[in-house]
Amino acid sequence: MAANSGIDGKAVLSAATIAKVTEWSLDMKHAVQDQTGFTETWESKLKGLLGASGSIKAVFDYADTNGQTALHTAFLTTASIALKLYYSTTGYYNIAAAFIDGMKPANKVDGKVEIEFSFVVSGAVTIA
Amino acid sequence: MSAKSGVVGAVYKQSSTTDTFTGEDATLQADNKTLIIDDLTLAGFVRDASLFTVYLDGSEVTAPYEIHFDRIIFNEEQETGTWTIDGTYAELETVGGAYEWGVDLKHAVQDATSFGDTWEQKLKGLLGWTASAKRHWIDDDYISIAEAGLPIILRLFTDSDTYDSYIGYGQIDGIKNGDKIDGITDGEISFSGSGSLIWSTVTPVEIA
Repeated sequence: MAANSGIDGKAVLSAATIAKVTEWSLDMKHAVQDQTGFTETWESKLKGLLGASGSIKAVFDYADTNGQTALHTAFLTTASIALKLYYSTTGYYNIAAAFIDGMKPANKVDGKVEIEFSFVVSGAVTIA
Repeated sequence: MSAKSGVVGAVYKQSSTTDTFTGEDATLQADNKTLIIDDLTLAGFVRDASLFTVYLDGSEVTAPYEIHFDRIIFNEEQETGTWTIDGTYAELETVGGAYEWGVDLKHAVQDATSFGDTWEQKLKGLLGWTASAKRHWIDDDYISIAEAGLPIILRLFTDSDTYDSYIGYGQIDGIKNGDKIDGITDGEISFSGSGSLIWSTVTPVEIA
């Protein structure tokens, strides 16, 4: 498969494309436990739980009702959200349940207003 | 709304110029906990519960609540009906501007994974926030507030043409000032939020 250009990416909240997204990242981890015992020469490992977290960066747009504004609302509530993080025009990571656990709006006089949403996945991540 | 270029923010404190209101209509929100005053020109509640009385259908409500900028948030869900508030609001006074600000809002997520799960399971908990602002000058305005332990209202604008902003009560918990022979004075103030940080487009209050 050829490399994918960043410009084909997008982040979708439920069915709505979040406006002005410039970057997303997904950090998936598979916990590895150490099971090394005395007398062993090399470390021995064992796999455990899967988990994921990530972030979405955007140019601030509070008028994006079904995107950024909905993420603000989701942050304030205990409800989970569904996300699709596109890495190409058709391919994406599918997250059925995630919690927005952080928001970082920021403003610089010589820059633009930006916001970063961070999320923690509850359950599985699949790729489509 | 289109993207916004970097614009000014500002930090306010509650001034001693206050006024009272009685029997003002308020609307209970969908969460059945948040009660927002209908007349937003009265926003800027003084954070002192002894100055407020809340009524449902004419009867005083004694359920515990917290006071926020333009709203009261009950600890428990309330019944719908005709809500009114008696209270006190204050004019805001600018403490200082900034050339850069940032807010860090967090919603704690607890682990709820149990045996038999393949993927981690999560559950949400408490909300909280911190913020910081940078500026190119140094004076004692923030220091006197920090020394007195006074609460401030932080209002951080995302737009210079409207009043679109984040607003919340907080405390100054850090001041860093510096000067370099080949630079200019620089200061950073950090704030620790107390209660909610809300999105507001309310015009700043002016009490005649």
